[in-house]
Order: sequence, then C-alpha cells, then structure tokens
Amino acid sequence: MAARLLLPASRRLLAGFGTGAGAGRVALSTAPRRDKKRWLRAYLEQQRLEAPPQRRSEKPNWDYHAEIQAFSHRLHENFSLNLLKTAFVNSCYIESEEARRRELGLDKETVALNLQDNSKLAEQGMSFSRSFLTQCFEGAYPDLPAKGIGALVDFLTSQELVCYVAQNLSVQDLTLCKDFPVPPDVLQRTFFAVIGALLDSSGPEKTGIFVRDFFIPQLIGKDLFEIWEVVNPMGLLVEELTKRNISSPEPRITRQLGVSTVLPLYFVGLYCDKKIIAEGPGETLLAAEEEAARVALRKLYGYTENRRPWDYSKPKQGLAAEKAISSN
Amino acid sequence: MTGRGSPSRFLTAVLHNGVGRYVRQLQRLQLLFSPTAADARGARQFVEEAALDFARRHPDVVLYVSPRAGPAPLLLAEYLNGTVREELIASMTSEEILQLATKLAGQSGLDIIRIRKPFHTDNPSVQGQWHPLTNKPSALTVRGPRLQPQ
Amino acid sequence: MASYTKAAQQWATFARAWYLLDAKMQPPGKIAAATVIRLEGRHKPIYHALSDCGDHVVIINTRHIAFSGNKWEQKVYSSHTGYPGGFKQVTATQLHLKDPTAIVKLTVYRMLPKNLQRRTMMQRLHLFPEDIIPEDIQKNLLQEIPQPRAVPKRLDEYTPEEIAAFPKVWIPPKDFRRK
Repeated sequence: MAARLLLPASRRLLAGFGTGAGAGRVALSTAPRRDKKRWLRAYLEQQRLEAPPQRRSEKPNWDYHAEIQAFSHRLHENFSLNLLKTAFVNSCYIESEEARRRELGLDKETVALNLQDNSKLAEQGMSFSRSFLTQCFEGAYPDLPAKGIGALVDFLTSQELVCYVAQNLSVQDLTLCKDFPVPPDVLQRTFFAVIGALLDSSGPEKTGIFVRDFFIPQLIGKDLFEIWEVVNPMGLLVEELTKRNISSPEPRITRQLGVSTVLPLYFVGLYCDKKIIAEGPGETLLAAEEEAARVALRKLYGYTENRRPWDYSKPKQGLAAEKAISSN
Repeated sequence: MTGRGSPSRFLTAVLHNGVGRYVRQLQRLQLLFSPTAADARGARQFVEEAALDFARRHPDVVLYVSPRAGPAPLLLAEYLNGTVREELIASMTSEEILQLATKLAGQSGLDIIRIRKPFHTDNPSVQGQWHPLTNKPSALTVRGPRLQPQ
Repeated sequence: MASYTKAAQQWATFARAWYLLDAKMQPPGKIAAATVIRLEGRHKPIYHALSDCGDHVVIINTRHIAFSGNKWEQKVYSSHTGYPGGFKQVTATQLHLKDPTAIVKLTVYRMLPKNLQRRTMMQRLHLFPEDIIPEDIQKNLLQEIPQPRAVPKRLDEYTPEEIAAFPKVWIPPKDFRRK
C-alpha cells in the first residue's frame, strides 16, 4: 500500500526533473513500460539453472510402483516386483528414514520400517555375475589364462563400469539411498542387487543372458591389454611358450623407417625355430619388441582385433549359467 | 554454414543398445495440459482417445497425465541417459500428438545434431590398418635397390 | 592380421617413408610430378588434405637432367629483386651452371599446392647434384621411385663388339666416300 502511495509522488518528481532538463524527458519517454516485466523470464531461467539438483522422486509426477513396473518391462524381464523393490532399498536409506521418523517423535514400533535391505541380493548378484562372466570367458577364450580372465571380469564388474551401465539404465532414479546424488558404491551394489533379484525371480539362465547383454557389449572396441595390465609381456610370452614346448622367441629387426631421424619406426619380428610368430611396430627397438610380444600374446590367447564377434544369440542350454550356480 | 561450424557427433547408441538386447530409451512421458484452454483441445482429446492405448502399447514408458493451469500444453520426455525433451503440443490434433509421442518413444535421447558419418566402427580395418611398410617385403628396408653396397 | 596396440598402430601408420629418385636423363617436369605426389602424401590410402602425411623424397643426379627441344637455350627463369631495375632473367643453361639443383627445386616448388604447407613439404625434398648421398640419409631410404623415362644409352657407352654386332641395313662399298 505504501508503495502505491509512493508511486504518484515519484512520478511527479521525475516529471519535474524532466521539465528542468530536456535529456531527462527523452529518457523517460523511451523507458520500458512498467507492466511488461521483461526481466522475469531471464530471472526464472537463472533460478532454474542455479537450483540445486533434485531427486527425480521429489519432482512432480512420480509414481514409484509404475516406475518399477516400467523398469522391469524395459529390460524385457519378469521380475517379481517385491524382490525388485527390495533390490532398490539400501541399508543407508532404512537408517536415515528411521532416524527421520524418530526425530518426528514417533514411538518405537512405528519407527521400525519393515523393509529388507538389498545387501543379500547384491551379494548374490555380484557372485553370480562374476562366476557367470568367468564361465563365459573360459568358454569363449579357452587359451586365456586365469589371470587374464580375472582381469576381464574385474573390469566388467568394476565400480566405474557398473555405475556407467546403471546410470544409463536410470537405476539411480529408483535407488532409495540416503545421499544424493547416489554414491558410486551404492549404485554398484544396487545394480548387483537388481541382478540378484532377477536371479531369484527368473532363474539363472535368464539372469545369465541379462548379464551377458548388459556387460559384455562394454568390451567392444577395447583391447585386451587396455584391460589387463601386463608390465613385462616378453616374460609372460616366454612363460607361455615354455608351457607349449616352443623354444624361446628371438627378436629381429624386420623393417625400419627413418632410422636417423627423430621419428624412427622399427618393426621387430619374433622368431621361434626360424618361423615368425609375431611382428610389432614401435618408436624404439625396445618398444617394438614389447609390442611384438603383445601381438604374439594376443594371437596365442585368441583375443586379436579381428576375432569372431561375441555370439548374442540365445544359448541352447544355459550350461554356463548352471555351472555358475553350482559353483556358487 | 559449413559442416565444420555446426555441432556434430558420431553415430553411437547408449550402452551399445541393441547389441545384446534392445532397451527402449524413453523412460517417462509427461503430458501437461490445461483442462480448459482452447489450444489444449487436441491434448484433452488425446487423453480421452489414445492415451490408454499408447500406454498399453508401451509398457516400458511411464505416462503421466497431469492437467494443470499452465501456459501451454507440453509433452515432457525423459530419457534413460538423463536427457529431457520438451515438445510443444499447442493446437495439435490427437493423431498428431500420438505421432509425436510415438516418435519420442523411438528416439535414443542423444543430441539431435548432425551425425558426421552414417556408420561407425571401433575396429576400422578387418585386414589391419595400413602403414607405410604394408605389402613391402622386409628385404627392402636394408637399402634402396640402387644403393646396395652391402 | 596383426592387431597392434592403438598407440603403436598410430605411430606406424603416420611414420614417414623416404624415397629415392634418380634424375639422370629425366625431364624435370616428370620428376616433379612424381615427387609432388609423395611430398603431399597423395599415394597413401590414409591421405587427407588436413593431415600432414607427406613423405621424404631424395633426388640424385640433378645435374644430369634432360630438357627436350631447345629449352636449355630458350627456357627463361625470371625473378625480380623488388628494387627498380631488379628484373633478372636467366636461361635454363645459365641457371643450371650456377646451381645444378635449382631447376628441379623450382619445378617441384611450382608444382606444389600454393598453401602454407608448401615450405614444409619443400623441406622434405633433398636434392643432390651427383649420386653421392650423406650416410644418414642413405640409411633412411626405403624404396626407389621408378624413373618416368627410360634412360637412353649414348653411342660412346657401347663396346666395339656391340657396335660390330649391331644389325646393318646396308653395308657401304669399300670405295664409298662419305660427304
């Protein structure tokens, strides 16, 4: 009310000023209209951009049950919905929720949330995925040693990769967790709990296909030694060759380019019994020799770049899955 | 504008979608419309006629219908990778909205910008990538043919 | 197929090769045409105008190039110093006597694309008037570019036996008097 009273007064003041100076009047006449709030859109947009990130469940239009159902349909799996809901409940959520209720002053019986957390399911899912992937790789790359298979499995079940997969399946929206954004270890646990829930509701065979469909494509475009760090490939190669009763490799320069320049290229070939087993390029002779050893290892292990693509068709019998279950 | 000036990306799919199995990337669709406004007539008709059918055909998409006294009717599409797309459906008929919703349901949520090439591979060569010594016998490296003192 | 690590593969793909070209009795234009392709990297399957993928070319025997027709006398190389009266014109012979690599160098330089990479590519051209090459360059050589023209054999390079064995269409009589 006071503002409205002030308005005419200020207008009169400005008008008086205007008569005094010609420039003032010009500015007044071109001033924007007062009722057109041109700052509003920009201000609202700024507010929107500056707003702290919110959980999806705190925004409008959120139906947890429908979301869970859609999640199971999206993955083309028949989850038992109760199990799936349990899979999304983390222990930290239960604790924080109970603490919140206690703060509200509820009595002890009502404080207790009759919820199960996903630690059991996560453990189940984790061990199943690991053993299933191990079986898969043992079947697909029979020449790969246990260390290499372990590295592949570790890579696929690592926190980073599992979080990446989970985030692109929007698992973090459904996860019930104390912190926001969901910390990676919780997200990883939740995703394994989803796998565990599937294992309990659809059986090992379908779960195996699920694990295969979502984890193994992540190996596309990756080299074996990007995943499996081998410090001394030559030593490993010698070890492998002695296992196969082949004499130890003899490195020879096969080709070279620009030797006297600062950008030389050497090709080193590894010969066993005067037969070439691998050839690799490198910036220096040492690097080329190491590269040749890596090439030889890839050939030995059957993990070359032009290997047969992974077979994603339906398996005849869930042999690997059964094995994974029995080894559990 | 030349090709270099406009934003572009390579052909990709979220999580190599479709290699293992196909996952629909649209996770939820919000239909926001005014219960009274004239330009939301098509939206209201869509709710009456086609929304149920659409939801039944897409069980993997959560469809929220929310009448609100807002400025304009909207389709808000949220994708698995976090993209949110707003589509204005003012003065659209029910069929047009259905078409738009179906289109949104088929999209991946990646930026709709120029794609540099209509194909992509992580292993560009099956035979092995070319280098200056490809198809050259190794004896060549010792000396050029004219200069063979050794 | 070999599958290399990505870094090693990249290093191998973009390594620069060294080519040798013998300019003995070759027309400078043909030499330049063969050279420019290599300097630009147009002979590579990975060629792209924006990637610097040219090779080195070593040209020997530039003193022994061959012009056809009367170009040695009539072909004129002109330049201007920039000062008044600074217009210089020399014939091919004069230029060749002054610098035996100049004609080949100029021909290649003029045949290269007129862009910022021209000077860089010229630095990858190594010219030698005779067939003597420094040791460190000789070590790098990968392959010889085939000569664009067959080298003719001069009459004084034939042995008397070869000349005697050469088939004759007509044997002159003993009392034949040559003009």
